[in-house]
Amino acid sequence: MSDFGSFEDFIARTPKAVLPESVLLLGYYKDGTRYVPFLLDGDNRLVMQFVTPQYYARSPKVIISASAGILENAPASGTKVITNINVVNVTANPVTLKLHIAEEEATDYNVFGICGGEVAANGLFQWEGELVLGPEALWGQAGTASALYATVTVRDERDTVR
Amino acid sequence: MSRLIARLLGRRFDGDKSVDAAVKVDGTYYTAGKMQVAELRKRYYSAPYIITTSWAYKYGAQAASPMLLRRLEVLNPTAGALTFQLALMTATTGTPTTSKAFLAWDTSVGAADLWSWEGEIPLIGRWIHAKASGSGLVLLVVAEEIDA
Repeated sequence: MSDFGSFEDFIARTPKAVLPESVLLLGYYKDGTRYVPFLLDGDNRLVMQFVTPQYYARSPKVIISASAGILENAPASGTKVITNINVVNVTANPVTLKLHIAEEEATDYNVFGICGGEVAANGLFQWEGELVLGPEALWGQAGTASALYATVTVRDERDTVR
Repeated sequence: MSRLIARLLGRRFDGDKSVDAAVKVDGTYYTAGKMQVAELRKRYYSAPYIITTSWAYKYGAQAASPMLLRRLEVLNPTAGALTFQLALMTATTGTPTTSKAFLAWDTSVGAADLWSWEGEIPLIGRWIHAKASGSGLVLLVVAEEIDA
């Protein structure tokens, strides 16, 4: 005997307690104050649901060459995290690239990832890590116009659950 | 659904009962102790697609059911080098231009060789389109379900 038939349906309408590390602890909400285990298959069980942080849709964006341009704006409030930057070179020649994490102005004092190095002809530059946006934004500058296109992966902080 | 045995820390009471007393954390009571929990693993997806000499969408996800792209491979089992292009579009139709270039553009893959990429890129109302210079290339997509 169980408290519910379809587990997935039950989760959708069950109060959830948010724990660190993006784990939802699910239980039967009792007396408005406490979670108690489900009766599931004749046994008392709590359920943990592992959730993912919210990611944001992004499309490829050209990296301008005349000056450094913003590739990803700082969030209006709080912070977001960049986990991947993929820059593809659509030309048959190497193209130089600078990336910056800066609040107001991209300079040689706030470069990261690649500092004027070349993205190979028809090649890919990839940066992986956890770069915090806010109040800083992500900037980029290419050595050649219309040659480099960046796809940036942006998500909320790990402890944000939706 | 997969299941695992987990130990949650808390205040034990009443002998050998498998479920212990609730413990207050940040103003909320949690039942704690040794108990069986069910783990809902995210759904994974993987599939190979043939890349042709014409642009066509291969894989993507609606905004309501997003996926996280984890790995791409372009495999060339033929006897000669071939080039390929990838684009990220907001629709399953259309002819991509360089402004939609995504991870690879006129990238060469040698005979009996492969190109691969690993990382994480959300596909939220986004579709991967591909085109090759000749027949024979295969695109392998590996993606993971994320919350909508």
